[in-house]
Amino acid sequence: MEPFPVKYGLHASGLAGQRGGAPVYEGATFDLEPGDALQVRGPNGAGKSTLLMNLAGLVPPSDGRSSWRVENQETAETPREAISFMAHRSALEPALTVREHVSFWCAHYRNPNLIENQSAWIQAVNLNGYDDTPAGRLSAGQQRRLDLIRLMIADRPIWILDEPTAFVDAAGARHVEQQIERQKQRGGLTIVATHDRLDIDSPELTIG
Amino acid sequence: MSFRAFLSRDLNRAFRAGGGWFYGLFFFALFSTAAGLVFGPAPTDLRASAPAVIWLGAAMALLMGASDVFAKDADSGFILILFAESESAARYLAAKAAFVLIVLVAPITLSAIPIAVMFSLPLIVAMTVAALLGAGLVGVGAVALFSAALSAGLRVGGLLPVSLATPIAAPLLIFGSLATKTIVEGGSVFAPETLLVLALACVNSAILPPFILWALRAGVD
Repeated sequence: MEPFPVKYGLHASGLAGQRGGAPVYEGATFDLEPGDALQVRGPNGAGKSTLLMNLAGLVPPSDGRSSWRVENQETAETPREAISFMAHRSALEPALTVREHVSFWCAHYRNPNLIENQSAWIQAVNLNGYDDTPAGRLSAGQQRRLDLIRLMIADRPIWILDEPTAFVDAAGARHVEQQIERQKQRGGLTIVATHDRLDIDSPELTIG
Repeated sequence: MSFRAFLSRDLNRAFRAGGGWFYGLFFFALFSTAAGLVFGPAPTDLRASAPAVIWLGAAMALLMGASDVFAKDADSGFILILFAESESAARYLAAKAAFVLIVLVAPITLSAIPIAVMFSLPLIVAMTVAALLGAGLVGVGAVALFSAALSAGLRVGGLLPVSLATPIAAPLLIFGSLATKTIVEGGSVFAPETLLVLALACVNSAILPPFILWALRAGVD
């Protein structure tokens, strides 16, 4: 298991976010070092997804500040090329098969070494036998598992995950936890918004 | 991010059943045939109407055919991921432009040859008209992508984005039709209106990409 060559930390102070002009969360403060994970918890509508969007630099926070730390230098710039973002929707194309998704992601993330290991990726998330099944015909949980392969192929040090275990069964949730632990051991950073408390060694931030 | 990955994924998707890549071409053929029937069988009338029918039909086919080129990626959340994980979406946009050229502009341009012949133009004139149309459609394609980005990014669907984009494509339609009329009447291929068409196509292709990216990015907010 190779550590990431570049590791990132993240500091957030008094972050607040709004959606559609209405405030949804406030006072989010935390400090994460390389190898850390943070579970963001809260009821529906608490602003968990908004916080992730703020941290990913997709939407500016309404208050507070966050800064990334790389090689002991602080920057307000979001290191986009180091981020893997999993939205609450699985970004899949219903007409393309599982294997075609894997193939596309290998090319998209310029990871040609992995193309030969397509079957291994598919087996890793327990989708063996579904190689030629269009994503649109998979169950919601299976689609979530397929989206998880994207993170593994992208092989990036920062994971920002929105409900990665939604619709996923117990075995799938355990697999997500294992992948986050692996990410931590490699010095990667994980911020995960979740309703289900994940069995990982990480602090929790409750908002809303 | 890989240009080839985006392009091959989109082509793969488009040529599946229900991909709908041929809808624009189908509209162009249907519109031209219907217009030919309306203008009647007299060769003089058909030749006179050919420039307007070909340019209007081809432009509308392209604008409508490309109207959902970003929609599936916006619906699935792929565009959100793209902006979260990439410094620039330029390669993605370039792949979409190539996709529109391959799947819409090229077939519409080629189909303009038999349609022009159907409108009583000699084959060599029909081929010249199609070549000019192809050059102009590159510029209309940029407008079509802008319209599609507005539709996906600002979440306004239906014919509204096409209606909003049509005025931007109007100068190309006007000068394209004029240049085609000149060619049909035996005038120079390099008349000023032809050069204007080429210039407008270049200007559209150069100016619109930042606005297309802005419209897509606006949908993420």
